[in-house]
Amino acid sequence: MASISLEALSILVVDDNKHMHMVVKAILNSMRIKNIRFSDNAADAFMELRNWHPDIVITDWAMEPLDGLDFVRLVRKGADSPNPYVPIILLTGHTEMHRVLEARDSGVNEVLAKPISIKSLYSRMLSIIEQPRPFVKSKSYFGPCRRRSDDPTYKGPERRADALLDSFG
Amino acid sequence: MSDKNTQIIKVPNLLRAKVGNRPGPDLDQIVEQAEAAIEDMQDQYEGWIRDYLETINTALSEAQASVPPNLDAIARIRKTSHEMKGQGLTFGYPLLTQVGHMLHGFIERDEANAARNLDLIAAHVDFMNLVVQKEIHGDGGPEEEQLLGALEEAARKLSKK
Repeated sequence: MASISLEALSILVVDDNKHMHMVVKAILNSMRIKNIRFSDNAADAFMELRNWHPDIVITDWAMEPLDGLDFVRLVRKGADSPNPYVPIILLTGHTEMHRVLEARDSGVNEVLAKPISIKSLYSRMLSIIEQPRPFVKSKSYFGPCRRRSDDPTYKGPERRADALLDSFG
Repeated sequence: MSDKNTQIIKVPNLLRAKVGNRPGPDLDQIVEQAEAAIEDMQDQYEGWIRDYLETINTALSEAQASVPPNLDAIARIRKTSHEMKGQGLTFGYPLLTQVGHMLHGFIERDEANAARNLDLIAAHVDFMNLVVQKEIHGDGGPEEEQLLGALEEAARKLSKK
């Protein structure tokens, strides 16, 4: 993919570990992104979303009392959500198949395994910008289309967790 | 494709318009700069990792001192080992990522079972202490590999019971 400047983007990073704030900030700064804010819990992040309107949210999964998926569901389905369509990248140390599927079904755009790969974060940011997926609203789901390619004839099995982490998120 | 139960919503791509077509750093430049910034944080990380270890060692002592073991202390070990997993590799300690992953998994699979097997938790923590004390960057040697294998096998056996 071509190298485009991501400098104009604003990013909200949600993680209850302040050290991870520093790591993610260092990586985003290397992409020339300076407009970054941090929240250390889901409730504050939701307020930040209401008041600041970031372009992309990067959230950890393992937080308390509300975890990252609770936050995603609040954003996607909450009656008072300020932006149900905001792109969300989930950071997670949970890479088991059922966990990845659970993340996908919460409505995240991308899943990124920890420890964070710089290349993977960059490619997911570009994917959100260059290849955004339509949203799907059904009785049981609201979020980005869970198939990377819109192939209505696809009837095969669910892909492996690794493949989901690589290509779905 | 939409049907009466499923609605497909095309969201305007405002980010593409906002970013525009200004050229930015290429991936190699981004990786190089990010790695340099993380390298600059290495000394800080050595402090963070000692804090994590202190948290885990304290929590383990609390768990060992109470009967039945204090589950809050076990939960602290689980959470902290998860953080160590998430950061070790970034800062050149893949063994901490690996043992953090193993300890977190052992506790998360069955917290009550983990509480009954504090010796195995302690063995994981000993390994973490060893890696940090000896500053073992990289994958270690045959001895570390053997230790990790033994921990993995013990966790597998104890998780079945």
